[in-house]
Amino acid sequence: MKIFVNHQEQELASPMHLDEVLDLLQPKNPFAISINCQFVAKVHYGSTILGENDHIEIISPVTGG
Amino acid sequence: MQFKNNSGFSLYGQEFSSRLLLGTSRYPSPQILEDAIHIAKPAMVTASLRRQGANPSEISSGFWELLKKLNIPVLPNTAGCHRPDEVIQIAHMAREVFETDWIKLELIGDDYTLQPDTLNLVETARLLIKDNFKVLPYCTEDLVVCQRLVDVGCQAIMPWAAPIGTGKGPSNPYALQLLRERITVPMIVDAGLGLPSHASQVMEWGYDGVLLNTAVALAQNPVQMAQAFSLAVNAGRYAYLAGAMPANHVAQSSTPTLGTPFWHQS
Repeated sequence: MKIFVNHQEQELASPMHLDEVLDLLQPKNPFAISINCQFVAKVHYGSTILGENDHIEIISPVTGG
Repeated sequence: MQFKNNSGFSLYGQEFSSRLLLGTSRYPSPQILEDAIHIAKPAMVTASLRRQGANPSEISSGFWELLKKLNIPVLPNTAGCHRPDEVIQIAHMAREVFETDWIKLELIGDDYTLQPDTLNLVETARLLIKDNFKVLPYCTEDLVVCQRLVDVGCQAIMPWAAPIGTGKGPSNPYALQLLRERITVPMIVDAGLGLPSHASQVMEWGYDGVLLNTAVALAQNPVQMAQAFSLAVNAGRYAYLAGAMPANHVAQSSTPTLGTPFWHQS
C-alpha cells in the first residue's frame, strides 16, 4: 500500500494505524501531523488508519518572524 | 510633576512587561539569536512550523531547545498560508506543538508584497477565536478591516508599517495615526520597521508595541540593534505618555528675548 510522507512515497505492507507508522518513522519531537491536509491530534493517532495514497505531513518548530 | 508609569501591557488578559515582540528568523547564528533575545527581553518570540525532511534525523532540535531554555512566551505564526483552511490547520498544529493558544494570524494575499488577504482575514480570525485561539492578526492599516477584526473578537491587532522585511518604516503615517485614534484595543505594529526611530515613531503615536525581526536579524550587529530597538520602544512609549509639544509653523526663540544685550528696535 502506497502512502506519502512529506511528499516522499513510502510502501506499507498493509493498512496500519498512524501510531504504528510513526513508530517506524521515528520523527523528531516535537511534531504535529496532518493527513490529507487535516490536522490529526495526538489523541487520535491510535484510532487513525492510513489508507491508499494518504498524504502525511509531519511538521516541527522552526524560526519565524 | 509625576511621571506616568511606563507599565507593560495586557493582551487577552495576560500582562507583559515588555512592549517588544521579536522574530527568530534570519539571524547569522543561533548564538546571536539567543544573545539578541537576552538583551532585548521581548514579551514574546515568534516561531513557525515547517515539514520535517524525508530523513527525520535532518531536523535540528536546536531551535526547540533554545525556546525551552529561554522560557519566553512563544507566538507561533501561520506564515506562508494563502488560504483560510491552511491557516486553521496550521494553527491547530501549532497549538499542539507549542502548547499555546496564541497565534499570529498571517493570511497572505499577494506574494510580491506579502500583503494580508484582508477579504478573508476577518472570517479566518472569527473561526480561530471560536476555537479559543488568542489571535493576533497581521493586517494592513485599513480602518474598516481593523474594526471588523475587533468586532469578531480580536482583543489586539497588528497592522503593518510596510511590507514584511522591507525595513522602510511607516509608509502611511496618516492612516496609522488615524487608526490609533479610532481603534481602542491594543495595537502592535508588525512588519516593515527598519530602524529604532521607526519603532519610536509608532510608539509616540500611541501604539502599544512593535513586532519585528529582520531589522534586528540583518543588522550588522544584531545584538546591539536588538538593544537599540528595546530602548527605542521604551523611549517612544515614554514620549507618548509625556505628551508632545504642539508643533508650530513659525520659529519661537527658546531663549528669553527680554533683556537681550544690545537690543534695539530696527
